[in-house]
Amino acid sequence: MSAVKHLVSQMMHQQKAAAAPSSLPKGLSQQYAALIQQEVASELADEVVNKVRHQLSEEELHDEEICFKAVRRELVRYLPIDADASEFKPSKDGRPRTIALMGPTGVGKTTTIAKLAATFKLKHKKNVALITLDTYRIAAVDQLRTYAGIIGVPLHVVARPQEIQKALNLCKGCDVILIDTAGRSQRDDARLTELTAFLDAAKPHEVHLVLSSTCSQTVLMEAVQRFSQVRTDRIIFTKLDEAVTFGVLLNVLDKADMRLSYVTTGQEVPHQIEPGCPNRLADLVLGQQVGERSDS
Amino acid sequence: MIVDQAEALRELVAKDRAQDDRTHADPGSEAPRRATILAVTSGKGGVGKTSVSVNLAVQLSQMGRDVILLDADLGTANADVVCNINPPRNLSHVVAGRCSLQEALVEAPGGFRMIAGASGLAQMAALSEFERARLMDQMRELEEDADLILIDTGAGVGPNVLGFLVAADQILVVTTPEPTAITDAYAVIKTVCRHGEDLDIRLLVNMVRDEREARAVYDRVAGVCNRFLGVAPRYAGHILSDPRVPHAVRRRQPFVLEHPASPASMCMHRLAHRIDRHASSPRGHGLLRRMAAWLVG
Repeated sequence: MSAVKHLVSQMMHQQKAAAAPSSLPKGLSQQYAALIQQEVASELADEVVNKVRHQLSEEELHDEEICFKAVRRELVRYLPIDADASEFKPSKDGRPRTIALMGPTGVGKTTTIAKLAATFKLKHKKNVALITLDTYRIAAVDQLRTYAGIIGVPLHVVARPQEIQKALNLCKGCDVILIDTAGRSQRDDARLTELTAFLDAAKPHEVHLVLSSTCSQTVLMEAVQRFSQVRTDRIIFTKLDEAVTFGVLLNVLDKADMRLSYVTTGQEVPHQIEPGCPNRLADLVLGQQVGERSDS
Repeated sequence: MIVDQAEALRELVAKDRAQDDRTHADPGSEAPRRATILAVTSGKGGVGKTSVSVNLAVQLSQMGRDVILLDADLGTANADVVCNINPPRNLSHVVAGRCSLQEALVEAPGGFRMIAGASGLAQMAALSEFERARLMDQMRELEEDADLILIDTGAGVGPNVLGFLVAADQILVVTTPEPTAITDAYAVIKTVCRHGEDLDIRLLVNMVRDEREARAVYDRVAGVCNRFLGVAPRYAGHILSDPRVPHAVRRRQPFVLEHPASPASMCMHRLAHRIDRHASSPRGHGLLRRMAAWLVG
């Protein structure tokens, strides 16, 4: 059934791609088609393409290469990136930099936290502590404990909001505290309220909303909307390696008004995580492969 | 070893720790003393592995060495029984995180210290990485606190036994002239060789009539090893069959203390001297580093 839906939606996109830019020069229409193929919202694609059209001369608009670069450059402006992600910065208030991850179920929060912990500890050589609030899911604590054991960082398990201050006190001497929360359905109001209580107690500097790039735009937007009522200020996209199209990432970032901190590209800890890079995402949206990482 | 999603992570951590080790090791100044680690093992149970470990520990401490015996036989530990002590804490407490290895140390008759094993600690076979890492960290501390650490491993070639063997400076494989013991000893040597390089493996033949019998057993094992593995263990020595040995065990006394002049005690004495000579030669890396490398590989 989903395959049929996908087929229909693809056909619709292709129709749009064929219909809308009839007036577009050849070089640009190809890029437009690529964007639509990647499921970039057509308003967004129109906007990008129109801007490029005004920037380039008539001659340049027929050059495929020049158009590609111009569109890519323009896309980059639509990708707000969290500059703090690529290096370690201490917090300004003297507390350990406290980062909480939250998001819907099954998007890979715990694996992402393990990757972050390993990156901070092994790459940036920082003192890391882990706190998990996920006492709900079977073996969630065990999973994180295993990682904590391998990396060699302490793990504190917190079951109630009142306990979180105690755990934070234990981590006072650290550089970074990473807080894992239980995956919650964005539709479960009671659970979201509980999450709010935890975050109010923990007062993290950053709250990253973890989203799977394999979800549909509708699902992602609902998650963004509901979780921002709790509190979110950054987005992490997981499972880039499993995503078929990348336009939704652009659409979500455009609408969500949050910066992208990290993307993850596979299950392997700790390597398959990268700080969000606008050029790289732009390449993906223009249909390049996940594995290739162009550093230009 | 099964590859999982944390494989690269383990590798990275091991590399990181190795680097830390190097930066901490100050080449100019005198290095902290690091104990020689001697693992005593056997393919087959009941060949006198524990008896050899305990008596060797006694002999070496009588020679003025600071010896720690770690009873790492996880299924059927009984070095404490042989020594007639009843320590309040043992390895299971350490594994459970209820005390440190240091805190589990007890004085044993003959002047050495020991950490008692835990009988029936089946979950040790499934030590989580967290627990294993904690144990390894504590062992590193122990390394700086003794001249010699004797590890009495369990019989067989399970992952825990193997971890200790590959990490040791020297492996003492105990066998008897019984054909089953010989084949099992060969199996241990084969497995260990597959998991580590440049290992110092020595074969001790226990319960023999005379040295000739021991040499014959050694020749057989060495011959097979040479043919199939390309390397052979060295000859560690022999212990003569002696009715006073089982007698001492029944009286829960190390036989070298109970019957210091018996033939078996003399053999033990010679073995201890040979090992002590080896122990004073310069050594390579620390236990933890090699253990970490093994866990990764």
